[in-house]
Amino acid sequence: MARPPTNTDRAAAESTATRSHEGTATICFDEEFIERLANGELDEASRLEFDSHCAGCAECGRRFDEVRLNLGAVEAVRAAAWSPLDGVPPEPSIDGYRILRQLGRGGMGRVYLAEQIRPARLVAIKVMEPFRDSRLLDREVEILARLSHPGIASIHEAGRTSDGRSYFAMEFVDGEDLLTHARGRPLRERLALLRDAVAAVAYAHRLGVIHRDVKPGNILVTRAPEEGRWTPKVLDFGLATIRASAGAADGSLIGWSGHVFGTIPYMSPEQSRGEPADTRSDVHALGSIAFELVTGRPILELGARTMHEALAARASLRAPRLRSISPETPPDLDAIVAKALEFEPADRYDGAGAFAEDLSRWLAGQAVAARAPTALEQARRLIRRQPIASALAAALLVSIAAFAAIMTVLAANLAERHQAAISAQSTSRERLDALVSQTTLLLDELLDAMADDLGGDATRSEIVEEVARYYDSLLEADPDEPRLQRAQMGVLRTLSALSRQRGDAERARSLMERSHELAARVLTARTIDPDEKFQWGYSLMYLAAALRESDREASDRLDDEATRVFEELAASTPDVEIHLAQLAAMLKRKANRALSAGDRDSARSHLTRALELRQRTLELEPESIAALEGALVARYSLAHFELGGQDAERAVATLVETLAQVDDALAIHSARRRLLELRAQIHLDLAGAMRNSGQPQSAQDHAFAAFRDLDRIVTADPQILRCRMQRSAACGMLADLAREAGDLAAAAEWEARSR
Amino acid sequence: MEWVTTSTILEELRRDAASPSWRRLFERCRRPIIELGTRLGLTRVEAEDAAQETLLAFVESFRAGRYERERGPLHRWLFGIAHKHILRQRDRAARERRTGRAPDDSRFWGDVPGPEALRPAWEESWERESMRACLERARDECSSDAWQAFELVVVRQAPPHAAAEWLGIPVKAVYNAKHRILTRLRQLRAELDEPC
Repeated sequence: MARPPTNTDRAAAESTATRSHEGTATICFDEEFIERLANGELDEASRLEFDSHCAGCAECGRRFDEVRLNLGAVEAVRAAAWSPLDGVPPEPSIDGYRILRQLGRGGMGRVYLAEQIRPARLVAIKVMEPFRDSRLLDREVEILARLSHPGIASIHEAGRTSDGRSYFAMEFVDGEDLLTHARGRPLRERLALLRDAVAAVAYAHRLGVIHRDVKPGNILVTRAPEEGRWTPKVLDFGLATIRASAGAADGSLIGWSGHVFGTIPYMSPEQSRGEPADTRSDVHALGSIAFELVTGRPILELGARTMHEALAARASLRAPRLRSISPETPPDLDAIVAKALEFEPADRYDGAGAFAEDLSRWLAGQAVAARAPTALEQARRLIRRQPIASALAAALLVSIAAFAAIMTVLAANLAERHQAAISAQSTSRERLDALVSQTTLLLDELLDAMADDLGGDATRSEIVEEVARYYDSLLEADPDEPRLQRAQMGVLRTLSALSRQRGDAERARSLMERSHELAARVLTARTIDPDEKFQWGYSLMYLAAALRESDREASDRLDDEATRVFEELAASTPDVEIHLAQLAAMLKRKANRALSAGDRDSARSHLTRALELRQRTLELEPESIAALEGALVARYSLAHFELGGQDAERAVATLVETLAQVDDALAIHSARRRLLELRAQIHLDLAGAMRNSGQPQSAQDHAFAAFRDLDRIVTADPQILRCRMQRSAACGMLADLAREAGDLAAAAEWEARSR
Repeated sequence: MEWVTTSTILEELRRDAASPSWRRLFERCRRPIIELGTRLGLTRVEAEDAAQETLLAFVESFRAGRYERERGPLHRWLFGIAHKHILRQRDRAARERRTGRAPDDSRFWGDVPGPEALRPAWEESWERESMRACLERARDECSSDAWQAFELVVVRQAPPHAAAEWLGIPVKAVYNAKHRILTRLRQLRAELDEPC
């Protein structure tokens, strides 16, 4: 499907325009440009440029027609290459073997069970499909010939069938795949089997071989004849590659990772992005199997996704912790699997060897090398992962490290109570002042930058926790230090909000009460200083939110008080966008309260004013994504409100317009959770409206779109309660729609998902 | 592999009744016939028998001058012969199943679709087989790198940059190989079933 052209498209298109007709002065376009143009991937300007060129160059026009015809023939070629006829052409005829039956079929060949005449034994024979290039099979033969390990099916011989196709005969493994075999067995037994498979892959790694397609179906469990115990055997090195030289740097691996058919749930993020695989990609695949062995489900449920959607989901998905799904998982095992499944290859085990060793340690009850990464380590990872946030994270790390040093000085000084030390303390205190300001600023900016990191809430929480712990340590030494109190007040407030978002209302309340207690100590309610006033209003607002579940009356009172503070601020500083934005937030809350009380007129008035304030905020900060989000949410809120009133038709039109704006914003900030959530809410509203107006197909499309966005959010971070509930609602609506359409099977499936 | 179009085969058969060309024709036609046979409930072995009989009947009929190209392309004519022989094979197979000489299969006793219902699948199967012959020919004509580039991006749907990396050639060369071979395939396909 054609997608909107981007600047990158144009740049790519321009870069591919080459002087391809030798001997002429005309700059002609190459096949890449022409193909992308024929596919509708380039923009209007590129098309015009091409058309204008063709006016004087018949050759390019002819090539364009040819490329279009070629693209039209691709499906027929694929159909011929992947014939649905099993067993045709006839089973291969190979001297010395009797073919018994086909065992399976892969991307480049078929595998048969055969009887070898001499020595008499059963073997598996892999035969190339008729028109494939035999070099692919030759590569597998070369790789298997290097490997001799009880956990890897061994090769016997290679040659040509009577009709000239390449084949090789290998050990026949009479067993079942690892997941099937492991079903119902005790956890330790499952993990012991996996450890043996990991050890086999580790052996291959030591010889420079990277498998690149490790998945449960490629690990068969059989009973070792001599020992009588279950042994996993790793198969199918058809996509494997060899390091350019033993011990070569990871970046120098040869080969391509492009096997994308059917194994997406076990693919590493870098492979799904089409980047080269290395030993750590195999580690990720083995970690994915470990995940499934423990939890009983794959990391990525493909569901109704298309292949491209599944690949995109795989490329961005950070594996959830085992304990978030199976809380009974031993912490060390959780840490081992988490390390194998780290998003960044550099954070994983270097190769399968280290992974196997840690599994062995765990099985033997010894301490494991893997452990949960600290928040500091996570912040370091941010530097690699988040280009926008990296500078901030790096600076924050420096600040935290400086804190540690200062704390040591302060503690030493306090203990010794020496005059010289007091002097040093004073110096340290000055540095501390500067560092507190710097850290507060950096932390705010870092958290803001990380808002584009879908699924990063857990990391955000841990970083903020880490900072809070440092502030606590410092406050222990100097409990009345106002700068520290103020900084800690803000940090606790942020932590409270993150806890509330993750459904931990009790912790949110306790953190916010601590924060507000500090606020009451350092801020004055009747202050005229705008910053102080803002902080006070902010504290009231957050405390109100934290108390909402447990003490509605107190929460409402605090909300009113906060609104009053922000009203005063907006009146005295009408051009300070953050003051206007906060007042808008308070008005939205007031609207909700009015609506609960059945007062629709007041609710409309509050929402309208909130929208005006948000629009003003956006005018003041046109480049701010937060301001844009605020304006979009305010617009949506008013339309959502109107849906329940008399002018529902206009509300639907507003929702459709807002949806288009949200799509535009997401085209730039594709992983911004708040925007995704907003889009899902709009889709859900539109689904309901379409259903009510007798348009079930459109309703279904919107409900499914909502489900997809919410599923993306929840898959990235299963702890976000609100989104989980909304996803359930989307599934429920899809179930209802399927039931109404008479598709009971789909209804049951969506019903099950909604639970 | 020698490239032989359908008209070449038929021309040879016309000139020389004992020409080995019928074997080439058999190789090209047997898979669609087997697929048709299994679609009509025959086992693989029974369908192979039906394919043999069809081709023998075809050669006999052709030598007797009963094929007229004005009446339509070869594969349509062949479809009629194949359908008739597959139905005969079905009758034999039915007798063997009733007498217990062949394993029974409930699928066999299902409704037998008429020729018009079977024709689209036959056309599809014929097209696939023809394209397969073209692929084999095109593979023999081009360099290993070009073929691998083509196979990676067209058949296995790899991104061109990944194919280029795998083969150690420029992306431009991947696009060139893709289109050169696709163009050649279209030419070969047109030649393969040219009017006899």
